[in-house]
Amino acid sequence: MNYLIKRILELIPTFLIATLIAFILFSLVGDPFEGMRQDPRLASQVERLKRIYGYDKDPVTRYFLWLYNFFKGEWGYSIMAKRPVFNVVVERIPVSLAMGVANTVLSTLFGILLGIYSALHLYSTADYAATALVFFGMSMPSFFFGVLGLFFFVISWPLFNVGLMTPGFHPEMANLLEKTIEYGRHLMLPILLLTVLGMGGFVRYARSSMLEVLNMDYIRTARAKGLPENVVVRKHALRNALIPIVTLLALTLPGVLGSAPITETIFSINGLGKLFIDALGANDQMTLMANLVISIVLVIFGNLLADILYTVVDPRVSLE
Amino acid sequence: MSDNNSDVLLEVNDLVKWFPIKRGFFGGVQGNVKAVDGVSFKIKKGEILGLVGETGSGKTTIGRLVLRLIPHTKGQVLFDGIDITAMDYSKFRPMKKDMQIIFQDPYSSLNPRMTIGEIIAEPLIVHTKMSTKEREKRVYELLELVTLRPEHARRYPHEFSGGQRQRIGIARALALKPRFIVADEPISALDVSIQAQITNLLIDLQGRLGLSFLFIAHDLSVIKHMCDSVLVLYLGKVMEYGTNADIFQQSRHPYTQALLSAVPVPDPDYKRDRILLQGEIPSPIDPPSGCVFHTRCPYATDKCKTDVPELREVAPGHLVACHYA
Amino acid sequence: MDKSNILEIKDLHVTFYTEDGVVRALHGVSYDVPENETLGVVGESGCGKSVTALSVMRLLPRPQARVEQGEIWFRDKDTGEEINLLNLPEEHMRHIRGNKISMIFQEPMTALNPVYTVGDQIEEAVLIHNPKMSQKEARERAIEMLKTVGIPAPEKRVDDFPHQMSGGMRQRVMIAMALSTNPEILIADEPTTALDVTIQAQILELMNKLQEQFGMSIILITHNLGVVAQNADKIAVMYLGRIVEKAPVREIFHDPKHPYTEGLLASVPRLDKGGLKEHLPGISGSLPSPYNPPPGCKFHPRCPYAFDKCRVEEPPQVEISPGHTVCCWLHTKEETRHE
Repeated sequence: MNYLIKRILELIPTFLIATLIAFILFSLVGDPFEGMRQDPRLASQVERLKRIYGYDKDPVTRYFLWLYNFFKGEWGYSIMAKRPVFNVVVERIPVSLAMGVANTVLSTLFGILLGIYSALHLYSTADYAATALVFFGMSMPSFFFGVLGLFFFVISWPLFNVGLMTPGFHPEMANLLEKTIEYGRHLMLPILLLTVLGMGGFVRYARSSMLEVLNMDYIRTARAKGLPENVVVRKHALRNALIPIVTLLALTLPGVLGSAPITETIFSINGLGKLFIDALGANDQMTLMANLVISIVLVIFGNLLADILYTVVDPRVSLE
Repeated sequence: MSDNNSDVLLEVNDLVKWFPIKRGFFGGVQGNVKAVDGVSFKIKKGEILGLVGETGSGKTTIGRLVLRLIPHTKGQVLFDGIDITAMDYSKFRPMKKDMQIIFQDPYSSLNPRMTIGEIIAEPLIVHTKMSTKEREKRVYELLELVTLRPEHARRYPHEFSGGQRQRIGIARALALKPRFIVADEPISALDVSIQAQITNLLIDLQGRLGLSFLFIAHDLSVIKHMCDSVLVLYLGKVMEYGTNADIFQQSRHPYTQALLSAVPVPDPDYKRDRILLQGEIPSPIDPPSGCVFHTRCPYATDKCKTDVPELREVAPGHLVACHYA
Repeated sequence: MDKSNILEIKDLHVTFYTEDGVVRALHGVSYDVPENETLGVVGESGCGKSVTALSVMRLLPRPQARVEQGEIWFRDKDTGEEINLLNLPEEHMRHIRGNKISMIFQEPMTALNPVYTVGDQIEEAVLIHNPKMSQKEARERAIEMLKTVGIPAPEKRVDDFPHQMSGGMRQRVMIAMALSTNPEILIADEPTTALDVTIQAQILELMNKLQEQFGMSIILITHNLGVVAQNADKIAVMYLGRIVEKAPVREIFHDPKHPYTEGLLASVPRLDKGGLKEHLPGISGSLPSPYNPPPGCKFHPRCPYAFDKCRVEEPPQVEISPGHTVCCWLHTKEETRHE
């Protein structure tokens, strides 16, 4: 347990360093008001605006001010949306979360299943098909794949919707079923594309992990005991093959929230990813920071979770 | 082992190697593995000293230490009377050509992307100013020395069998005409019939070239066959040290005796007193108090649990670390 | 089957079809395992000693390995039936594998599954062959077996994971697991090769003790001549997929007939005789590639006595005295030699 506490305490400096680096990098871009100097009508206002938004101080001081306010729940003011960042970010979460969770669950589940099936049916047609899928998914850029999807399933053959909600649909008036269908029609295609793209790594990882385990001496021992092959595979091989995969799963945690900025942009989905791209364009530093903090926190906790899971699934690893 | 110091090529005095045990990311040193704990021996010119012991005895570590492949913790290694552990590495570098090593695994110790000729010539390029012609000639000489053919120089390691690869390893070690060779389990990865060939080759080369060997092995039969003198190690400490006859005919330490009685002899009618040691080899991280062997010794008394036995001379040149030897 | 035998291998041919080529791993291997005795199988790498054992267990790697020909007869002591294991449907074979014929392997470090306790792994073996047994009884059996193989505090160690044990302990666990079903035959494939010499002595001693206690036959596979000399009753010497000589242990060591056996014995330095730095006669040359074995007698390129016939024709197996067979033209009768 001591180790766990120590491990959690170690997260604090990690968080501070990561956010500090992000903050400094963003301030290197320059403040959002510099561009106004070009316009003679606004130039006189620049200094005043800088003072209001706090940009007259040096970046390190601003960082600590930001940090202090951040923990108070004041995440700054979005220049782009002209509203508090907190509100802007929070309302983007549901759609990104829905997409991220669906995509993560589907790609890991199908990826692992397909990978293990491939390993058990080595050099079969299914194995070759899985390998082809892996290469397709891993080599296809999401913007190209996304545009292809739009072309075929939205324009040529309008199976799905994209972009804004269907006209006449009022979320506040709909019941859960109607909401699900509505969201589904809009999100299905991007989720599908992300799943295919994300699966590749898992297929490959699960396949090689399973193949490695099947060649281990203890598998031969299990067979020599007289266990039926399905028990050998399920009890002895699978559990060992999943050990490295489980930790990989924990590392996908950041993926559940807005790790798909390009896909969200292509499909005009107003999630965190698209917010990030838009904020980048507008140099909306407070929004960018809020967005990044969410990712940083997820990455940090994903890593912690991976460590803890490791000790749960592998008796050779302990927290001490 | 009469001491005529001019005859001594390698002298090791009270050699100690501790490996620190570190824990955690920021964790400090939590203790030490005493891999080698006060070992002394001498190897005369043209002599083979056998180093024998089981897992955790420190025999491989000693082999690395005397060649300065890893830093030591304490003690001296004198080569030709010069302390090589105390000198600057830049000064030691030219001495390295006098001291070579043959590894256990002939498969992994040869670079698969180099031809045999390149592998054997490499030390010549590093340490000598030979011309390409001279090097080529030397490579052929060396191949012949280990009974390989000149045309083998153009081939790659994967084209050779285990025994041939070990011959290549030996040729590489001999390239610079060293005077001292550490042979770390040079035959234990080989098939039985090949072991005999390599053993014969090593003995032949040693005699012809007047080499000194530190021969590390776990197989006592091989040690008995090859070594002029023998050092028996247990958990980093010397248990017994003497000539071949001292160890194999009049061993005085219970551990040596137990080791000898555990060696399977290929004769179904060979009778001897079997001393079957109980228990496991303790971990060198946490070695037993007193005599490190007391936990498994059939004759251990209370004294053995508390007092560390000194390495005593029980007969000229025959040293034993046992209270009751 | 001969009444005194528990297992008889007859003319076994196994071929491996690999990417690098075709290897005839076993070429007419026959040996008998007498009841309650130990058969030592000796040979160097690639001789087929492990492949023979895996054939008995029907655990040859698939799809590369194929049994081309041969029979493996096993006498089931419970029913008195004689069974050809090679014809047995897989579900019947599972009742024999690990139950009536058990096997232990060379690497005790990797032969146990790291994610289950040693108790779990022994209980699993017990339960699969005794479906009526309760979990609790199986656990008691596991503890009893750990005690039998000399593991101190078995009630505690039963919940250890393999990584918490030393190599010698793990091999004891493997033996406990193999014997937990009270098998007729224990196949031990290089059981002590990875162990230190004092631990090797302990394990061999244990196997001898348990053989008496359990009344079983042992097939002891090793490259170490010393190990079989002191632990086997009969010896089979293998070379490149063939058995070159078979005999009671004393005859092999005191009166070897095959030049390979002779050479093997002359290859090992001895604790009991031989002088310092004496030349070891040994065997010249190296093992031929299994992909491209020599014609005729497979040993002829390395044999000091080879003559013309050896280079073209494979020698038959000849019984030169009761229980002592050899495959060598030197020992076939004159009329066959000069036919």
